[in-house]
Amino acid sequence: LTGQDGFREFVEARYTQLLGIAYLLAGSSHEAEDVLQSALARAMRRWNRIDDPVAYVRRVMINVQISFWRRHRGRELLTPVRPDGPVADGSEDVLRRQALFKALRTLPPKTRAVLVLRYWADLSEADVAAELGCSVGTVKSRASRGLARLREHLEPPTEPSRTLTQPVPRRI
Amino acid sequence: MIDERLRDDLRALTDALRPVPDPFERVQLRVRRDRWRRIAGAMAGTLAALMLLALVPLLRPSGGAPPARPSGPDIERLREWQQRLLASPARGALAKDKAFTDALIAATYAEGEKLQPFPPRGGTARVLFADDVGSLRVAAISYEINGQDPSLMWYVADRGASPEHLGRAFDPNTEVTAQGGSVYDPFIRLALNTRSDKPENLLYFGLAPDGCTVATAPLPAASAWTDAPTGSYVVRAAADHHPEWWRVTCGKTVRYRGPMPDEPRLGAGPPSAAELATATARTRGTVPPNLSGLVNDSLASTLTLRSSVVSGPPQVLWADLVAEGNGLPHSPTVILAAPAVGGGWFGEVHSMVTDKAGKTDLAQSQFFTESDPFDPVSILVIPVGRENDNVLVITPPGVAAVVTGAGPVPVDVMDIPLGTIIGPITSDTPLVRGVDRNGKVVATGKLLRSDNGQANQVNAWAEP
Repeated sequence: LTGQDGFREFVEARYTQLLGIAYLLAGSSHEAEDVLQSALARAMRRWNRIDDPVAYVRRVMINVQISFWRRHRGRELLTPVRPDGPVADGSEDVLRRQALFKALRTLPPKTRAVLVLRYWADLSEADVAAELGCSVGTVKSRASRGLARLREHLEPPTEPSRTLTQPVPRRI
Repeated sequence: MIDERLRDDLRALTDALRPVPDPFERVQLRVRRDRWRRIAGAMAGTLAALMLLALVPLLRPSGGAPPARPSGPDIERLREWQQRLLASPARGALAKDKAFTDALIAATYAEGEKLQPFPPRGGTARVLFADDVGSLRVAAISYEINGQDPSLMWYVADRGASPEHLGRAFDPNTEVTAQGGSVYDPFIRLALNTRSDKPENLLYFGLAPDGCTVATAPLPAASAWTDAPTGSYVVRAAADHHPEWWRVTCGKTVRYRGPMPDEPRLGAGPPSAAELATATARTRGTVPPNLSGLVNDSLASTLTLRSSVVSGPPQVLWADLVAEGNGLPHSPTVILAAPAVGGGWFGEVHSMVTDKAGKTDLAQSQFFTESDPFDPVSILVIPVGRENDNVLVITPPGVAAVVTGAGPVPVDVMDIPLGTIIGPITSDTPLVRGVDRNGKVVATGKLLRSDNGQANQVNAWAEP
């Protein structure tokens, strides 16, 4: 995978996967595209010197998000709900995932990154530590704190929807 | 428990993400666009100077072929105003120093030849503005090449910088944070931010054609207008910045009236219990408990209702499930409203809509009303839907049915707490009457108009 053709192949093969991480880190599909494009532009300029491009792009995206968060601390835009995505299941799942998405956005970016790498990218604690440049103990403590914060934020299952018993008006 | 299902939920959250087309080509384009900044940034580093250059193509987007010129009488009028702007005498204390402006233009050309073919030789360069503002020295130069629409570049350096430094130094982190108007808007409005975490480096500009008068009025009322002492332009540094509206009068005609370029007032995050109590103090009806999350998110995320077009914080007008009909699930919906600068109210509808495929998406629409929507006895007829092709009707207590148009076509709302969607209601049948169980008309309402915050603003450059 060397040269421009190799980079193109990498982008086409991995883009959707990397976009998923970017989305969970950034919180909106628009911002995720921007973060990922920025990271890939950096990777393109160093392409022949990168051993593990997926890990490299992930690291860049995490660093970009952390620095963005520092610059915009206190005025981070909260996305109200997941702006796009399928909902093939019941409304309680939808509401729970929206709550999760919102809770994820309240976490410090490094903690958010630990949870995304650990539970979305399925990396081991050691791999997460290597990727973030910290110790395994730090990964464990951040994951533990992050999960605890999520528990605090996530609401109990919502009550049964009133829509089941409400009459539907006629449309004219 | 959470960690057990976290993996599944995270995957579900990203399952349907679809990339914007042509990701590789977009990366290539970004790398090309970054090249100028990277090279210039490296040059600035070797100069060991704290000069900053904002490279901001304003009147014409950078990169790629120049856009096709639009045409038509409106565009011709805008172009005439644009030419008046470009032909205006340079503004700012330094702009009158011809030795300074000549040296500045020469520096930008010299730097362009070293780094990238911009600005190319053979065109016309005009300094539109040059002055010290706060801790910075700022210049705006327009470049017109081969009859193409001009490009405007902003150069920003430390206060007192020489023209040579101003024209060649560069900070890749400088960016435009807000910019008003279109490429043909003759009133240039923008905010520059060096992104250096130094709030003193925020600058706000409004530059109108010579002969026009710029006035400013502080929010929240934006009614006490004061002519800018600088005449046809206004500059605000962070130190003297406060939210305000700007107005441009040319002759006796107000050509522009609206908010200064600024970011929405974000950062409040989810409302506190006290803020939520205030925001729901006048809510019509009762907010169902399972909609509290959407209420909080809507309050935290609304942009228009926290921008400089409103004079007060957003309030919850109404929240409930809305019947979509056609067998679709009911949509959790929150309606916010805030008083508009200049009078009236802006409203925003946030609705979680599920389509036939089971996909849920957030639908938003905005409206304007001249009367108080919180009046508990009024009927609100709010345009909703992607094409504003339906209306959401909110009725006061005691209304058993609503009737639209000349031919009474009642919609049964007797068992619906407050809201329902009916439609379409066209402009030919704007009146909605609410009748009680005996058929007596007890309230009326008109179809409100869609508006994304433009009401009370003026942008009349294209008018004769």
